[in-house]
Amino acid sequence: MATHTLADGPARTTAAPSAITARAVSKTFEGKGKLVHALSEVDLEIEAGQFVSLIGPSGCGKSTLLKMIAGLLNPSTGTVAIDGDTVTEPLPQTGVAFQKPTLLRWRSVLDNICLPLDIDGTRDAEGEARAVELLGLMGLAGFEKHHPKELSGGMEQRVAIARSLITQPSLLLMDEPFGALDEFTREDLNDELLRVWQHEPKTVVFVTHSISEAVFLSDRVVVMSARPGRIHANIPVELPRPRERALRNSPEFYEAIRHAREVLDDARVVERGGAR
Amino acid sequence: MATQLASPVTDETAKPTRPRGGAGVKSAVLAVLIFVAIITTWHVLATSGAVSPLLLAPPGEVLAALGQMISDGTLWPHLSATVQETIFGFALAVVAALVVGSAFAFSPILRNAVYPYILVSQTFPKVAIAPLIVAIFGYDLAPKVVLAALLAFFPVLTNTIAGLTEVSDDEVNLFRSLRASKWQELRHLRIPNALAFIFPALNSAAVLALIGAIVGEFVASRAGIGYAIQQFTTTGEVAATYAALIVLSVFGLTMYGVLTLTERLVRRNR
Repeated sequence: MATHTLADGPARTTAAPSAITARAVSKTFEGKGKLVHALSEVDLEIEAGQFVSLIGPSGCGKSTLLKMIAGLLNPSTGTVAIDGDTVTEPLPQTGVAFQKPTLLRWRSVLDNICLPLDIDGTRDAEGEARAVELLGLMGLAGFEKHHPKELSGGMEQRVAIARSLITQPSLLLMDEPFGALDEFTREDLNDELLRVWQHEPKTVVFVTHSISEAVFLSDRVVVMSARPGRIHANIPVELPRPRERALRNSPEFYEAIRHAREVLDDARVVERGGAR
Repeated sequence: MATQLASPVTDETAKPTRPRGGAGVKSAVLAVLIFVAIITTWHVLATSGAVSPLLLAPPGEVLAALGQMISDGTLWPHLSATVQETIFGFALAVVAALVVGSAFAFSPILRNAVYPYILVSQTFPKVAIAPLIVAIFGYDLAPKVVLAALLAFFPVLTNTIAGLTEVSDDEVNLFRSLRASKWQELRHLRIPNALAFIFPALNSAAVLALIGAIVGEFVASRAGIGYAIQQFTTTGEVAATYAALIVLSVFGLTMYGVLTLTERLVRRNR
């Protein structure tokens, strides 16, 4: 797979990145007669242009929080706002990448990437050219006419990410997009994601189970704990940018991971009701 | 048909992968060999006296009988009757199934209320009510069309419902996140998804419609391939009986071919 160099060009003039504010957000689900507190009194501030990861054990509500920012779920109490506008439904400046690639199998790769433009009714030659460019950025140049069934899991997820970027969102929300991929593919995709992000600055909220992935990508790692889901700690990641592959072997990277793991372990102790 | 009750056929599972290059040539050679073997065995069985000539005519005679039917024109009224019954029955079933299936897909209340009755009517062997249907609708086209439609209806119905409703939460969320309208969700997600379910069902429906038409003809008719087969067997025209069966299978294959072609055209443009 050829690596495209478009990302090394000048940054694009896109809409300014979005800022996110969550205030006292709680979410309660009703399941089998009892109430499940998925999120409890969560406050979160994400500055415009930051790359923030949400990490935590299963059931900590990180995906729930992401879905609320995406406007796919509404909080039971509290508010989520993007650039000062309260989110009650999906906003146009938001792009979403899901855990599964969710490509439409009857559409070609190009048509899948252009789906958001079809929905907006804004698909034109320029949009398609951008789709081709994004495909190149994701390392899939020349795959425009392929269909999803001809792609591997990693390739499908690359297409899904290109699709989430086609409308030039100022906010990109990613719900464990690489969770199902093997370690090597995951690292490749992390590199490509950072390259695209450098190329088109935007706010990114990234949900993951992987500590190393969260540290490698993020400006800040938000550690959550479960039952009820809440924010346990904020860990700033001070590693220099742009981050390249070589960073993964550096002592600073390992140190950052070690620190994050410590905080995460602490979150899990709290969850079990123990004290340190 | 029972399998359709539980699991709808989809294109992913139904379509075998096409063999390529040398494998394709080998398959073709093997297919020709099998054909030759069948014809040879058939010929030997029919001419050696191993099988009574009252049950089996040699392939040469069957071919001659077929040629005779075509050249003297006796085939056409029968073929035309059966083709009409099958196609009208098939069309009626497909239209009804698409309408009812869509209504069920968008109204779970309606589906839960009506579906059990449709299920009961399906587990019931409709061939058994063929005489009744003939009594109701007379001896001409109508009862055969009704029988054909009754048999063809169910697989299209179940697959229409499945195709329109079996979309994942992720897919629905994707469309919501794109701020798609309900119509756009239908146009770009549910209908294309349903096509992959409906086309395989159409193939079974075409075969079932043909079965319905033939059964109708067996019960009471003045024309049709089924009628002709009955005539031939009672008068002991064994070769002509087999010739009629060949006509039926050619018709079945033609329907299959037309449906496959239609599917390709529709999918290219969806």
